[in-house]
Amino acid sequence: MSGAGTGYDLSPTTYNPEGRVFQVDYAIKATENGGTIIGLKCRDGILLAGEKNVVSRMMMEGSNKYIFGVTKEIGAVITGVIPDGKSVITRARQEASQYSEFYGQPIKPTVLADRVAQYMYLFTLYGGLRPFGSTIMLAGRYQNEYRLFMLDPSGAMFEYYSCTAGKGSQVCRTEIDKLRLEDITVRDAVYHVCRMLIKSREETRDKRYEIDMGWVSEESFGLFVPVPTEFRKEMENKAKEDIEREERGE
Amino acid sequence: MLKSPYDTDCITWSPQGRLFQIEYAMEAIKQGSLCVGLKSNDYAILATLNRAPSKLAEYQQKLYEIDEHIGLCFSGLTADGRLICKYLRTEALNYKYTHGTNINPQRLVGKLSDKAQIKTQRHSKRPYGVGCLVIGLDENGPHVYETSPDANFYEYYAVAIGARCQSAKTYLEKNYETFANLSKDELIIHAVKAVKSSAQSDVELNGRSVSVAIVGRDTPFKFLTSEEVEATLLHLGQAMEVEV
Repeated sequence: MSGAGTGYDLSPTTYNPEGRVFQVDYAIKATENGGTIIGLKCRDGILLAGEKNVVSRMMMEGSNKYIFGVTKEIGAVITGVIPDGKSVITRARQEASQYSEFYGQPIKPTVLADRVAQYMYLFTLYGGLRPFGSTIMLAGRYQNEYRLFMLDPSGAMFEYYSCTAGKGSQVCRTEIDKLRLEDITVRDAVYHVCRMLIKSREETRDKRYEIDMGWVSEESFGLFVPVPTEFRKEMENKAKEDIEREERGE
Repeated sequence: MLKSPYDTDCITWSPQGRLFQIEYAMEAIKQGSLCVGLKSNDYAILATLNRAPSKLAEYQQKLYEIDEHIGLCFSGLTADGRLICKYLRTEALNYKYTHGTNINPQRLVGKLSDKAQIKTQRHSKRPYGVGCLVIGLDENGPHVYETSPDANFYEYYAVAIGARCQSAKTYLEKNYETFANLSKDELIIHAVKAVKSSAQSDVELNGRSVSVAIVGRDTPFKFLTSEEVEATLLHLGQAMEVEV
């Protein structure tokens, strides 16, 4: 079995004898080192959330954002190498803008996700380029239907009810499986997501971190907007207290 | 013997998902001399420690004006820094011509980061070898940004980059919470103190080896003259003696 470091892994244009393209796999590994991000399709909309380490106390809150609006009704969250993700988001915005100019109507989330995935795939085909080191989640509304997609560096795109990526994705995955997403609203989901993100930071609990969230839902009238800060902070604090209480065994 | 077979160009991922060339480019910043940036509610200040290639040479300038409301300084490969400076000036001027108003500093820094990202994803290119500290003013007040070769940018209350920046960072971390309401002069003193704390004992600190610039709500971007910087250094020198 040809493992890593045996000369087949230096370029995206080289297959190894088993038919793997290692450079793409390594790019996917880079996304696993990033901050945890979560997408949840709830009863009345979709919540996108993420958490990140804060390296310095002197850094301003909300610096280096990783949740973006792509169109009025479609938003995205990225993890892994953030500048790579930002570059993809720029492209997504251009696609959406050109589409609506050409066709006279807003781009559908499915079409946008497909185009963005193709763009990411393009970078896995040439020796002079490298795959993006970023996983992107796109969430949007089109004619009263909410759709959630996850795109990874290989250019693969899948639609999800819920998805996670980044360092704490396994822990969050387990927690999400305990929820019945069809029964909760995005508003309820904020508390659950705060819990998951804080829990997934088991080993690095004392390091500083920041949580950020955006939603597209009935209560935001189908627009992708940031979750109101005071509400999010309230839910974060509640989640923290509840976790501490559980750990103390009450 | 190569340190690693995955580190010769920035389009090769390592098995752990790292891009070594970008990480090496970040090391270049540490070779450059110190830059410090800090802000209060009304002013943002940049201070740099300059180097001269020899005793016969003039100190190399690291602090540049981009527009009347934005300035930058950089640490690392100074040639890359000058190119970045030229790009930012062009962008700021074009924006002003097209829109009739000053460009938002965060937008400008974002443009630079997008440009830097492209340079990390092409075989024929290399990442920028400088970290920049940018101060700018918009309707919300003054801002301090740091950009780096990995194409990230961050906003800070106070920041230091370059050789021996840890001492300056430690000084800033101790004091940054008091900066918000300080006067212009008090803020300048903090900036120069931060530069002093990182300077080695054999480095001469004078009005030419230390540069300071300020931008604020009532102050378009301007450099402090070397006499003003000398006066601050002198004042600090006397204050230090008194403490002893």
